[in-house]
Amino acid sequence: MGPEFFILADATNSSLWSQVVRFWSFQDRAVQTATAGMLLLAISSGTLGCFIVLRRLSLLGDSLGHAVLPGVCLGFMVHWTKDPLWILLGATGSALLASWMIGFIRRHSRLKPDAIMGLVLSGFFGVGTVLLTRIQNLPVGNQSGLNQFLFGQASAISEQDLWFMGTLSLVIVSCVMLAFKELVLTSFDEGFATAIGLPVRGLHYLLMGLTALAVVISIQAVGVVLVSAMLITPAATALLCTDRMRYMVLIAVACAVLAGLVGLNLSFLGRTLPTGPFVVLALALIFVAAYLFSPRYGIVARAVRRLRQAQKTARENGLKSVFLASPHDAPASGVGLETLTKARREEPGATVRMVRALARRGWVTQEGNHVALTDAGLIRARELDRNYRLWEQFLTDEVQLPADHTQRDAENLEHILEPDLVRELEARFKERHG
Amino acid sequence: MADSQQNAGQAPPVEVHDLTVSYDKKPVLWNIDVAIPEGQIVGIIGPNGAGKSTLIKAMMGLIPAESGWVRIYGEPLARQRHLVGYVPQRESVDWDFPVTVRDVVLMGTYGRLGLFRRPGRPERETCDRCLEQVGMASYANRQIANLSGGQRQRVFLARALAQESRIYFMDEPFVGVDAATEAAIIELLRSLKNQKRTLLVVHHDLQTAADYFDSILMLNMRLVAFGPTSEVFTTELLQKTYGGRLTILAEAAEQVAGTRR
Repeated sequence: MGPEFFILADATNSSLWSQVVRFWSFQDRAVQTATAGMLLLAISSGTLGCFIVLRRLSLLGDSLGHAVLPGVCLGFMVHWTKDPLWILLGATGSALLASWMIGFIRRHSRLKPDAIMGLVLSGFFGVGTVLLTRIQNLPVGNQSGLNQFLFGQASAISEQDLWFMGTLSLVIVSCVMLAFKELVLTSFDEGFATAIGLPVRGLHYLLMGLTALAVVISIQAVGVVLVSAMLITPAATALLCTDRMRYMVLIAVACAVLAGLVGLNLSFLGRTLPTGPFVVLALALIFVAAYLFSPRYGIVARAVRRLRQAQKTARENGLKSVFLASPHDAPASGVGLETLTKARREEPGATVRMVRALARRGWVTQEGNHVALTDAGLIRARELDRNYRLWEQFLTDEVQLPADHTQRDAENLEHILEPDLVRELEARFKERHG
Repeated sequence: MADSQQNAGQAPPVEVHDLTVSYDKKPVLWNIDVAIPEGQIVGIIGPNGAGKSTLIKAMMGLIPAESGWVRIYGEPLARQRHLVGYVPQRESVDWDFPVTVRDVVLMGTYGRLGLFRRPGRPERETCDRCLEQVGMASYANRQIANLSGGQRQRVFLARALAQESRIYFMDEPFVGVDAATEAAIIELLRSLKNQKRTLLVVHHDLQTAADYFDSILMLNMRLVAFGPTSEVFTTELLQKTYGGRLTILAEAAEQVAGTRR
């Protein structure tokens, strides 16, 4: 263990609570450094991850993550010490070599990209593991902390590392901000981007280069194995929460920062636990939360919307049944509950509940056993009845379905037809029937 | 700029000489020669696999040519990109992408804006005007996933309008759109034509072809015919274009590809 590592580990003697306080008060220098590093890498990978996910390059991000390991080891072997400059150069070099190899094999073989990336990813990782094992078995004293590159240890970030991370993050964020519109356009529609003369290839390599940098600054704290989660999960979470690119980037960064801090805190509480798995765990929890509870695309929201639609359909069908059971020449005069129950072929209790729901809506009034439509109820009922007939007529006239096929469809559609379409149907009806 | 303006008087909007294009090492277009006259709506027709999309993509430099050249108003394409507008096939993009209708139309102004510059008020005004022209003004803030096929096509057209180009390449703009959109599109194309713009439209519906286009380019791996619709839209030439594949060309292409793999 490196000396900087013990500064954090010492704290485990005191109570859990006091450690939580010690972490979140950020007064400890080691906590400060680790937190600053985590923030920098969360911002960088959260931003780039959005483009990686939208361009369907997630697997490439994973490959690059694994591919840096041999470079990290070679960088260490230059001076047999954890010199951040050489480790950075080594990592960048092997990430670039890996992405070049993926392109090369693709051009000169019949293999498809997923197989090629799997091949390169595992090959590089294998070489890296061999080198790492060799280094750890050598009788030099400086290799401590190198194995932390596998699963990450944020407390191993030195202040010197921090300067590197800060510079690279600045490069990443300013490049993305500068070329934001170009990156969005090439990700959305490459053909159009080429046609208007954007340097599409250059932008692709820029993005790949920046991703390699983001991977490099992430491996110290998150580790090569899990670094792709830092790119992919925040972006995937953000895509479930918004339909705007700008907000997607902001949400992704927020998720990455939150997960980074929570993961850091958890690994800090547990003495020598690696940081990466906790960060990824926190990311996964945030993703699950978004998957369940996102207002637009979450499954809870979707279930609620479906339920509301079902209720609306049931309510409107109820309204229509009151309308149809009432006398045709004076629909507002109403109908007896018993007649209604018979017309609806259901239990009396169900009818009572239905009428109560309609009354809450202001569509009917109930006096004793007599139910009558209000003005609002009558308007809506006529509207529904007309939509139903229009649609049924359309199906018979233009789709030419036989009459016994049209009813079910019409019953479902009258509740969801939008005004525009109703007008169109009306126009067609007038054309045919005058 | 002054040069290209001058040339515009004489040189045709699009001139293609001896263009051969391969896809995945297999030649799909052989030795195309054509000069498109200004201010016309030109239909490109031919059977599936005839290379219609490939031709317009090669004309815009999206696919590298094996041989031959393309000139836009007498100049190489690289210098004339600002004169070229493009409506890609609708299926070529991911409509779940997190952008709004306005974002997409604004992309039409990016070529003029140049690298790294943000769209400002003039660009947004152009964008609103173009949306108005295609009848989509009220959809500006919608996410593109919620649009119908016809609405998506209108968004792509609005983006092309925002390019304010003199030549437009359109890849199957009429495919899978409702009748109202089809009518709106053809009306729009005609009004562009009246402003002396030149339009090249990939099309596959022979029923409407004679009605829509001033000239027709018939394609089946090589140029079968090009000329005013009244002259080339004949049973004989249609049969030549559609009747049976040109087995020799197709087989030669396979063999060329075989030697290159």
